[in-house]
Amino acid sequence: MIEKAAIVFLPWVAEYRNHPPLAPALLKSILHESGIESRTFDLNLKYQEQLDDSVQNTITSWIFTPGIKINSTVFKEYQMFLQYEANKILEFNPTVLLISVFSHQSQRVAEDLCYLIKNKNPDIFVIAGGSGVHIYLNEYKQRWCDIMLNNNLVDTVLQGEGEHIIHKLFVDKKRGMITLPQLDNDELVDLPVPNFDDYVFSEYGDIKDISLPITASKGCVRNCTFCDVAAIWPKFRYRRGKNVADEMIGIYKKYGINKFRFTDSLINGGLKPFRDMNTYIVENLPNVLEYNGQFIARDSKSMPPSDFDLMKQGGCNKVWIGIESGSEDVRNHMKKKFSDVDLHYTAEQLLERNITQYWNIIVGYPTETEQDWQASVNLIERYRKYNHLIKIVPVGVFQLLQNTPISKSAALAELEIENHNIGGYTEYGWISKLNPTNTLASRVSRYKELIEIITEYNMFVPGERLQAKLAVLEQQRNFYEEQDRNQISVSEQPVQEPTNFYQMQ
Amino acid sequence: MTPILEFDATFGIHQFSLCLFNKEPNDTVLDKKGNIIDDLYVIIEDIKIDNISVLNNLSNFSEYTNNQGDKVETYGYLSFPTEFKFWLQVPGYMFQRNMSLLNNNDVLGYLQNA
Repeated sequence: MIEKAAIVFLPWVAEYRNHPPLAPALLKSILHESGIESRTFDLNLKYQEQLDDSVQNTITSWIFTPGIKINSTVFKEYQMFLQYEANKILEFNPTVLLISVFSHQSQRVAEDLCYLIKNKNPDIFVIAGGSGVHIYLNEYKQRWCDIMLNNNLVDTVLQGEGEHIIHKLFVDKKRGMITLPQLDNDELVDLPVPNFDDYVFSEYGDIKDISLPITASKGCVRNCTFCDVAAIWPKFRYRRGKNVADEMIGIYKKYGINKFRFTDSLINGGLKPFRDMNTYIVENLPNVLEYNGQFIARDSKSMPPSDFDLMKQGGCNKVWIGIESGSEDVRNHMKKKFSDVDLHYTAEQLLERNITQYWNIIVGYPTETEQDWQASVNLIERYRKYNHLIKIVPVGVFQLLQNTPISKSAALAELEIENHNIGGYTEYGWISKLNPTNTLASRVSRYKELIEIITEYNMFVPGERLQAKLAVLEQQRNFYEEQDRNQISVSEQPVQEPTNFYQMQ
Repeated sequence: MTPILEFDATFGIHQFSLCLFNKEPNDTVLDKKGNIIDDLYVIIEDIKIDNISVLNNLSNFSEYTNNQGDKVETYGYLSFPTEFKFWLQVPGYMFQRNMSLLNNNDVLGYLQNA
């Protein structure tokens, strides 16, 4: 039998409109090397394009917080959308369906899509992978991947990095859970160049605005309390700078697209490969490529002005910085490891070189007091005059995510967080007894204030759907307040101890 | 002994029907005040899908009428000689999930029209 794979990227992932996703293109390339025909389908884009705002906001609220009820009209529209997309996938006659479950926010759509596909053709072999597969759902007392396997919605779940073995599954069709080790640096280098041949770039916007994704490193050199990257990728791995630059140049020559966006947790996590990449670009294709990515503020000793010169010359035109809070105390608790001095140094270095900065701000970290919040507001005010170069990304109200340092038992005990639910998705309604005025209601209120401020100061990211974010958050707040949800004692939940994505079986 | 009916079902929504045949008017015995003191009936003790009991929500995913054709709710007690219909979705997880996400009044419509 000739194998054909449909590779599906699922909603909901916070991709900007002109950012095509990486995973489908990389998988397509890997399969192509093994002689397997494939086609990529970006349902995340279709979801944002085809569902009207009101339906989309309600469905997104449910995706974030599945306890939220939705009415039959909205559900029907969502089902019709998915049925249409499932039919398009089936028209390709795939023998294998690969779904990329980026986080718990892709789980609901994955369930529905697998159901629709299996309903029409139970012989299609479904493989799920991604960092969202292993999340424990307290409501069902099971991990999501086990639910999917036990209900025959998927045939195989890949936990970990399956790039090197995925083609073998087309031969042996091994079922069940497959846990894989992290790729090492050399294996990362060996990965083929992503293949974007199926992407219709015009669907993502004007071609001159499109940034193609590229990965130079996986993992992170930090271990911030709120982040699960260290659990998913315990080791920081990176590709050599020349290897990354060669890939960018090759893609530019093939597709004529000169803009790139790094999927790395931090583009300046490893300074040597970062410098090497920029140097290679400057020496081989100067003044052509542009790139952006996530960036950490560092002190002037580890990242002197010459590094900022080099990254500018290499084509860096925009960075996302996880500022998270204007309060150094809050950032220290988060283990961000940069001071106010480092923050201002970084901001000024970037400003001097006209590199755009997108600052992520998280509202309502457990230790965030009213004074801390004001420090965030003051920070934004201080830089408002640079609103042409500094934009604020209101990430959201603070969530206690599974497998993050702050959701471990010792951290919860230290913060005196006694009732909440970190199993699954309902991680919004927690209260720290040490900071009892930081409630979900106050967090939502601060979030609204943030959106008002950045709107007034013209510091929002163009195209960002701020009102949609607010509408989703309001639905979540109503759910928790009206239903008095999230009041599950920590002691009744599975212990969240230091854990490793790759060791969980 | 309670009969147990088991089905292997493919993915999708499946309709089930139960009917109380041959019930005669004199099978229902009334006292002088009109209260039923004896009757012929069926009690559904449980409905499980993939070993998960869903009986508690039976009225949300079933349809039943009395002798006059008026809709009546039932939680498993069937005494009218009319057709009792209910719908289940396979796999059970999807049934549970969709029952939970939809308002109670919307569940039946979804199952009948999906």
